[in-house]
Amino acid sequence: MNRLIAILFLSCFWSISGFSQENEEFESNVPKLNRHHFISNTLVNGPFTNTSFSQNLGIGFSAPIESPTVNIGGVEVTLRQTTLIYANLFFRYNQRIKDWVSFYIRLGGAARVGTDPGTLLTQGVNTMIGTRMGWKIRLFQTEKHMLSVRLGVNDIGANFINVLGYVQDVIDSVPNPNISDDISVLQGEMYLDYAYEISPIFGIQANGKVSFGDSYIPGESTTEFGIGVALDANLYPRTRVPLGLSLGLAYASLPELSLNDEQESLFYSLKLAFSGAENMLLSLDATGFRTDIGYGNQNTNFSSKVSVYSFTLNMVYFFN
Amino acid sequence: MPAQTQLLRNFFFTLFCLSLFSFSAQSQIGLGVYGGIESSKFSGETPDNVSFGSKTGFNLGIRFDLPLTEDVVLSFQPGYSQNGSSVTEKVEVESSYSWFTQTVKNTIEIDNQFISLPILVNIKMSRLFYATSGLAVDYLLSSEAIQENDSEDFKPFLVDGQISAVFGFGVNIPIKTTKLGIQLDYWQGLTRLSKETAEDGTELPRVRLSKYRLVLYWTLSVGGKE
Repeated sequence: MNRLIAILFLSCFWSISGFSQENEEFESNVPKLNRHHFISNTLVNGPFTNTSFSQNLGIGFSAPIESPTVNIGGVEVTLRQTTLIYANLFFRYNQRIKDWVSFYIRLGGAARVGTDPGTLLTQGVNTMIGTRMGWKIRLFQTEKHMLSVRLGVNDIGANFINVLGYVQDVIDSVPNPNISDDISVLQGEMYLDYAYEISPIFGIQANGKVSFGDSYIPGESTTEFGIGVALDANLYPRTRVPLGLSLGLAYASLPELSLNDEQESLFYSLKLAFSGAENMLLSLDATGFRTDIGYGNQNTNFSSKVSVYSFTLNMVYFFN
Repeated sequence: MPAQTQLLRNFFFTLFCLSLFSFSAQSQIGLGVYGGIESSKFSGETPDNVSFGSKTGFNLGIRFDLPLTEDVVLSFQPGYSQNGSSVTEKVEVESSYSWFTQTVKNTIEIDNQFISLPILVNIKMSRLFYATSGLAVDYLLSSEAIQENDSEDFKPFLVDGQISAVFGFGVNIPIKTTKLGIQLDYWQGLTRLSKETAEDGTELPRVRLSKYRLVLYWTLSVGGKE
């Protein structure tokens, strides 16, 4: 550990002071600007149009949830609760058509379940399966800067199983009570993705998003905005230490992570990557955010903010 | 037709005219015809006992390819298409034996006819292959709901037009001064096809149309230099 800290410190020092080893150029398909090879970030997409395939497998846990008192058929019931489990799996493919344009498609899904009968009753089971596809077009590039625009559509099928709401509806003799709601959401989206090489070791990526389309509330439309920024350090090209770090921050609606409907939250992530492979990045991503959770239906009008921590294994292979 | 759709239609027309005027006389226009099959399906909000299924249809039209640069071609493909979706509802009915119920599936075929104007950008990937994407405006000519031998006008439940995003790729084989090609694309309806409310004021579910299209085309290169 001490050695790692020492290496990190020295790397930063060399970078800042301009002192560097004259290493031979690191040949790789990992996206780069000038001499910096960027570490991709889960929260902030880069502007690069390289052909690549990536796979994300994540699992997350909420902090313990405070116990609500819910009203079932006029009876106040206090539930003992533990935590929620989050899981997601996504595959993404980006095909470079020309240097300045690429096509991307992402398939995958996410789920949120309770870990005991109390959370299963109040939180149900939420699942989302979606396809996101579109075009990434490079707008501007210099030696150290790059700006791209992404235009695409995001098609999500969500299913919310609401046990508490169903029980309440049965007790209230609501005709044809539904235990699950299928919701289809389609949104058009535009991102501006930006990258800047600070030094051969450090780089920064940022993006802004606007999307317009269906809301998770049937029959309603919504417009969403989001911003994100990520600072990354790739030690390998200069020091031959096969380590990359990325620190990301985003204020956005990311339902594929939060399993929540269109509420902007603050997300932060720390990524530790193996950057020594020629055309691949392997990484472990720790992401944290606070999200709003509700209980049951309108008769049990209770909501609470809860912290969630998730860990994601990422593999990105760059073909060119 | 909603104001948004009307606005986009005007935008597309203006774009078409501008493209014709800005087109370089040095380039060759591709003029031709196309025809193909398509598999379409409604998507959107459904009650638990209702599901949507695919329906196969066909399309045909004319194609104008206007080269903008060496690698980029603006392609107008106005045409006619027939498509739709099946809508299946599961209904529980009491059996004639009366001591149990059975689930019966009622399927209705929705048959739509559209005039479409896709405006696509084709980007050459290699000598033969290209990727394509763009937007399409569809104008609904007619719609029928068909169940067994009965048919009913379904158009009152649908809007006059919809806008779709198109993604696809194609193969383009030059044969002397002509080109023979195959294009496979996916159309995702961006705007709802169902009206918000029926004529009697009943709220209608949000439904869109998406489809896959396989098209065979033939174009003749005219004007300019190759």
